[in-house]
Amino acid sequence: MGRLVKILTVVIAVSFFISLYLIFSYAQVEKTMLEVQKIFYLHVSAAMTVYLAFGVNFLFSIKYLVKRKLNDDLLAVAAAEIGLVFCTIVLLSGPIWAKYAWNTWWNWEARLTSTLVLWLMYIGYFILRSALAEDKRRQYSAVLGIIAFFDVPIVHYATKFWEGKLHPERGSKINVEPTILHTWLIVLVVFIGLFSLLLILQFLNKKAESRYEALRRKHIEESS
Amino acid sequence: MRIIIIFSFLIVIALVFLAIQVPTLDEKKVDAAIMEAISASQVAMENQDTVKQAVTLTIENLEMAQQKRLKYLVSAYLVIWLVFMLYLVRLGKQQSKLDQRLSQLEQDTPNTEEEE
Repeated sequence: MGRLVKILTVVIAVSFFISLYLIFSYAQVEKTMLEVQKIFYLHVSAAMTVYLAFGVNFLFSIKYLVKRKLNDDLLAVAAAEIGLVFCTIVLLSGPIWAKYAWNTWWNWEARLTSTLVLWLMYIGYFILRSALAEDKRRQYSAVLGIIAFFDVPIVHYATKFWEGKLHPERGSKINVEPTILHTWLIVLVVFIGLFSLLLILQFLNKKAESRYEALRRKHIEESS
Repeated sequence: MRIIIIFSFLIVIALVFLAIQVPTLDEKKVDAAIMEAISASQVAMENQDTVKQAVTLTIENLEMAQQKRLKYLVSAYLVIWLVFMLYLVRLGKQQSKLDQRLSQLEQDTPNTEEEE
């Protein structure tokens, strides 16, 4: 596993620099937003990674409730944590784009609001985990993880459900330059790779943490 | 981990520095281009200064607008980099702290490995 992590780290680091090169040298400057459009590559890729991360959390939360295996809970919480990091990136990079494009840092538009709600729900997920005793923690947070995931399709289809003039509506035909599209797809793949690497690292971290807790409990029992 | 953070920080600083350097047009080139445009469009000689002023103002405005756009771009990339780095530092610290506590505990309880 250690070797796989090292290889993956090198591959992702190299592809990250290649992505930066593609963003700034290969991809054409978009005609309306000009240089500011280059925020899009990381912003949208981070948003897609959020869907993936919370999707992984959703699947492993269900699996935990069915099979009650510790590893499923650890994977679910690791994915939620990484999803929260990417969601923070989306929420912080979005307003910078918004300030230039819409002349406002924030707007209570459907997609922005539902993304903020998603972020708050997963903050709640971690508050719940830290507040409950260990036996209830896994079960309750798995339930919350499943419920919170239902906000993901709401975020994705927000522009279709509610008429928003700021984000383009889902399914609307936008002519994208091939260089912009290719670069974005590559950045998206790199982000997915980064998510996988972080998921492995977080999972190993959480596993070591639970092993430590088990050993500590045993140690306390033996010494008392 | 520290090397990665320092290395990436240097790269980000270099990128920021490069990004905010808006290429200013050389005055001689601007003058030459204006003269060429004036002679091509056959503007009256007494209007040359007005044309030059207008062109210089336009270039300044374009450069200022580009600088503004680049500032937005750099801020967004800096914010994203900062969030990632903070997360990686936190992850690294968590891991090393845990390894330390785990090895300490394993030393204190010599038979736990076999019992597990």
